Amino acid sequence: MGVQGSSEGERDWILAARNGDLNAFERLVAAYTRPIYNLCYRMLGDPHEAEDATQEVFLRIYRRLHAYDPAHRPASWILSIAAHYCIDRIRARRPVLPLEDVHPEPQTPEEARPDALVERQEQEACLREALGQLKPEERAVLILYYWHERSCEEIASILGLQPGTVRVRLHRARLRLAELLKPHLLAGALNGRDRSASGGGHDL
Amino acid sequence: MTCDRFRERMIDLLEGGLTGSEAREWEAHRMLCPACQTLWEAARMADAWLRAAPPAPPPPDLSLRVMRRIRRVAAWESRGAFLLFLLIGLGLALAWREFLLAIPVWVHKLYPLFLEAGGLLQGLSRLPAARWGMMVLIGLAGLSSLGLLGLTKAAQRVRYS
Repeated sequence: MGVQGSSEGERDWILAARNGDLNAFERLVAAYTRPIYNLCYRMLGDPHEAEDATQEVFLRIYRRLHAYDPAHRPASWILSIAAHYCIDRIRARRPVLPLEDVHPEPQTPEEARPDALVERQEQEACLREALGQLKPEERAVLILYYWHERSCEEIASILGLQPGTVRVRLHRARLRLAELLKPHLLAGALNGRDRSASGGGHDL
Repeated sequence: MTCDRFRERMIDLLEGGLTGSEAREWEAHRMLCPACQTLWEAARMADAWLRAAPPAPPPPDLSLRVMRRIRRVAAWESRGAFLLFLLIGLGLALAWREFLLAIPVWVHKLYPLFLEAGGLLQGLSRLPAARWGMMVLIGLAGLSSLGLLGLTKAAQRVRYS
């Protein structure tokens, strides 16, 4: 995700930026805009909020350059700042609507044959709303595991937790997500079987 | 196997961490319990959705906007703050200009006193004990400066390590 340098290269960029080299910081921004935006988007659920959050995260990174410990991996340090910022931002929000209160527009039978793109968009919308129902800490673990492909040990380092705690939160998050998505997943599976039986549509 | 145990071990099975008799127990429960079977299907599909969901692409100009903001902050921190303090200083000087303009008058009045004090110090410095005292004071001042410099450097090393 994103074109990142090696850990060593990124460490050099951070240390150079700490000494006032803005070009080095610009390289860091170019390498981490995509992963930070993705984390913010998946955590906050809104693209505009994710843009604001991305800017704020980089500002925090810039202001905390002096606090960076070269013994730590740059990616873990950067994602840690981003994850903690998003968690704080979510906690400061008002509660979101429960999933059952949000309904997609009803479709006539003629329109109920989504092509692959519409199906993916529906999946994306369901996933986004289901993620919004998770606790911020569980959401962060899930996002770092699936989208950033971090191990439980790395996630523990990023969030300042024990690896065992990360495994428990990941387990709970996946179970909770399965429960939230169950009606949509199984409805989609039934639709797929119905369409297959009628000779058209996509299997899920 | 109970339903709670089934749920606890479900994710382990998803990641291939369940083997042997526990895996067979788990499978047997799944065949017998419709609710757990449904949950298992949902968990499997949720996992597939999560793995297939692509990362969200940022707006193409987001990096540029971020750097623009960072450069503004950096410029403010290096030059803007200095200018602000300069302006505050000039403002205070204008507000207290009468007091400031009176200072040379006071210096002129106090000048004879400084001359007398200087003469007194000169007289004292001719005393043998005074020379030793001055050398000790100068030596202490030099050592203190070196010590402060060393402490500052050590603090910087600790801070950035």
